[in-house]
Amino acid sequence: MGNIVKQWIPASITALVCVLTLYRQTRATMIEWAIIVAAFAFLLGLWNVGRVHVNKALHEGKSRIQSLVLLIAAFLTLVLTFSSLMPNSSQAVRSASSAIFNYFISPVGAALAALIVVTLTLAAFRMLQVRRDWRAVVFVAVAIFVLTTSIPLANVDWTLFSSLRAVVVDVFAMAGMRGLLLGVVLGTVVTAIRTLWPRSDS
Amino acid sequence: MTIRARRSQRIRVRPLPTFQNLRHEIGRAAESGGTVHIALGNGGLAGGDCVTSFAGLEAVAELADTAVLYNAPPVITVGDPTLIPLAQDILREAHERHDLVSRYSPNQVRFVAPSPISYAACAADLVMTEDVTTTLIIGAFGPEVSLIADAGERRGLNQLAAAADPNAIGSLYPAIEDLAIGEELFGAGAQVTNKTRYTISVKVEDLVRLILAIVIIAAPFFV
Repeated sequence: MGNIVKQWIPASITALVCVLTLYRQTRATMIEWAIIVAAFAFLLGLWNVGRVHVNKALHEGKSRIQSLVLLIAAFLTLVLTFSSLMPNSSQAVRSASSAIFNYFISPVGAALAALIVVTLTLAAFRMLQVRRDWRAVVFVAVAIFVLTTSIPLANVDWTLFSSLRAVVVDVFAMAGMRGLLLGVVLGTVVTAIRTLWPRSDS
Repeated sequence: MTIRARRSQRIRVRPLPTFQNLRHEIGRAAESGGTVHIALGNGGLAGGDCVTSFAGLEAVAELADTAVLYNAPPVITVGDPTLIPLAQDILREAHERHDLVSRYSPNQVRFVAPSPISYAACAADLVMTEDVTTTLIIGAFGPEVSLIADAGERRGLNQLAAAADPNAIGSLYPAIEDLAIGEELFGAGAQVTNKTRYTISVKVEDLVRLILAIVIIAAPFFV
C-alpha cells in the first residue's frame, strides 16, 4: 500500500500531466498551474531566507552582522517595492524603489561578473602550479591562444592566426562540445525515466 | 541487463573518481567536526535544468543516510526555491529512517539567491564563513561557479564537482581536480550506492552513446 501511495500515484500523476502538457487545449492550464506553484515556491524561498538569517542574527557567529544587514535590506526593499506598486504612491517612493535596483543590485552584479574573470585567471595559474600534466598545459595554451588571437590589433596581420583559431574553435572545440552535449542529452533522458519510474530499493 | 540484475549479478560501471570517495568525505567531515557543503546550483523544477537538478538531488539522497548516521548533515544551498522542499524532504526522511528526527533542522537547506551570480557569491561566502570541510558542486551552473570553487581553494577544502554545462566545465576544470564532466554527472547514484537501478541506467547510457558514436562515424560512408 505504501508503495502505491509513495511511488505509483505520484508517477501516474506526473505522467498524466506530461501528456496533458502535450495537448494544445490543456497546455495553457498546465503552464498556469506551474506558474502558481513556482510563485508559491518563491514565497517559500523568502521564508527560508528569513528563517536562516534570523537564526544566524540571534546567535553569535562570524556572519551575524551580515545576516542583520541582509534582513534589514530585505525588509526595506520589500516595503519600498510594495509601496511603489500602490496606485497612489509618490514619485519619491518610486524613485527609491528603482534606485535600489539601479544603484545597488545592478552594480554589485556587474562587479561580481568582473570578479569571475579574476577568479578564472587565478585558477589557471594555480592549476599550472599544482597540476603539471600535459592536459593542464594544453588547457592553458589553448585558452591563451584563443584569447590573444581574438584581439583586433592595428598594423598586425592576424590572417594565419585567425584561420588557426577558427580551426581550434569550429573543429576541435565544437566537436568536443557536441560529444559532451550528446552525453548530457542521453544522461538527461535516462535520469528522467529513472525519476519517473516507480522504484524498488535495490 | 535486467536479467543479470535479477540473477543478483552485479553490473560493473566505469569508475568515476569524483563520486567514489563521497561517503568517505562525510566521514572526514564528521571526524573534524565540520560539514559537507552541497551546492545544487540554479536549476529548479520549472526550467530546462530540471533533470540536472534531480541528478544533484539523487546524490544528496544517497548521501543523506551516511551523513545522518555520522551526525554530520550537509549544508545544501539552492538557487531555485522549488528545490527547497525536495532537499528538506530528503534530509527529513533520512532522519526519520534512523529515529533521529529531533536532530533534523530545515535550516540545513538554504535558498541563497535567485540569480546565478548572486547565488555563486552567497554560496562562496558560506564556504568561507562556516565550518565546511568539503564542497560538492553538483547541478546546473554557469561560469560563475568559479566563485565557489575559488572560495574553497582559498580555504584549502576538498572539492568535488560535477557539471553538464560546457561553460561551467571550462570554469571548474582549472580549479577542481575531481571533476565529473557532462553525462558523468548523472552517474553519481551508481558510484555512491552501486544500486541496480542506477548501474543499469549508466550502462544503458554508455551503450546507447557507443551505438550513436558508431552511427555518426559510419554515416558518411553510407550516405
